[in-house]
Amino acid sequence: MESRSLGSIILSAVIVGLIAGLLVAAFHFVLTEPIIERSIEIESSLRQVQEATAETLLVDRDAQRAGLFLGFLLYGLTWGLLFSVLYHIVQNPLRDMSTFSRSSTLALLTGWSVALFPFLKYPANPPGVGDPETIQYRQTFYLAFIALSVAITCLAFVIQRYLSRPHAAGRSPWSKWAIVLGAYAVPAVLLYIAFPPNPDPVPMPASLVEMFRILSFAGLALFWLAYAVGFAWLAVRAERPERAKNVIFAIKKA
Amino acid sequence: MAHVFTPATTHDWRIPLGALLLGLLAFYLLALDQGLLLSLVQGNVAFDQNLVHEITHDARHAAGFPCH
Repeated sequence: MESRSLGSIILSAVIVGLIAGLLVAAFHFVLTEPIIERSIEIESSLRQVQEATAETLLVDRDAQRAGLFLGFLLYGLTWGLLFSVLYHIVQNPLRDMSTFSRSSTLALLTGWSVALFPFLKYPANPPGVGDPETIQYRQTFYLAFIALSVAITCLAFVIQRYLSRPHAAGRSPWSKWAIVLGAYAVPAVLLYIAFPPNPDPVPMPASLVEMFRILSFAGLALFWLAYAVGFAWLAVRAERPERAKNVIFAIKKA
Repeated sequence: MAHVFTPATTHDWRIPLGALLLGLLAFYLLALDQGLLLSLVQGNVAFDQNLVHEITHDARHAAGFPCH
């Protein structure tokens, strides 16, 4: 198999990322925006009682709703670019995997590591939750959690690759997967326990927060599923013209 | 065989580095900025206005990034 050029990988990863981002923005626009509106209403009524200050908003709600799309396009751009670099680096070491399983597995593992697992530790909150005083503290731990989450996935992945080499052929598949799962689960649980929880109080109604979190998690899962399928599909397609060219070349030679 | 560095191989690290930096910038804008970036042109008022944060506000909440 010939490795794909980085330009081709970046192009397809970014396109798929932007499309998946738009898809999730539309999902949130329809389902999550009403909850965001409701939270903002509750938040402003609470604030009026507490401070009685009318806040003039530079960015009004219409702009913020449009910003939802901008934000998820940035989300797609971010992971399109960062994932394409990862894929570029590992495509040769992983050339024994099929294109589809390599690209989809990597994308799903990335989504789990950078979005879904961090969500379980630090679940999303609707507007009205979040103390501006603690934003730096929360951002620091959130980023550190993502970084370590990626690191332990890499570790388990490397162990899995190591065990699938010929020298480990004597081991049963069960014992191999048990080792890999253990090598992931133990540090993952430690990471989950060791990190401090979100320090902010949650003054919003519990049912509203719960609904917001379900939709937020669903949005992230939707993004990474769409991204993995789209990227894998383009990756498989990208090899076809190459193969067709080789066939033509072989025919001409003969 | 020794590898000879040709212009083609020097480009090899520039493109991934560029993609990495651009990706981190997009992530910063979406998830982290609290006025720092625009303070370069706006001065201290950028921290109060927090325009990047306000525009990406809904996506920050929905994607689970820390927000106030």
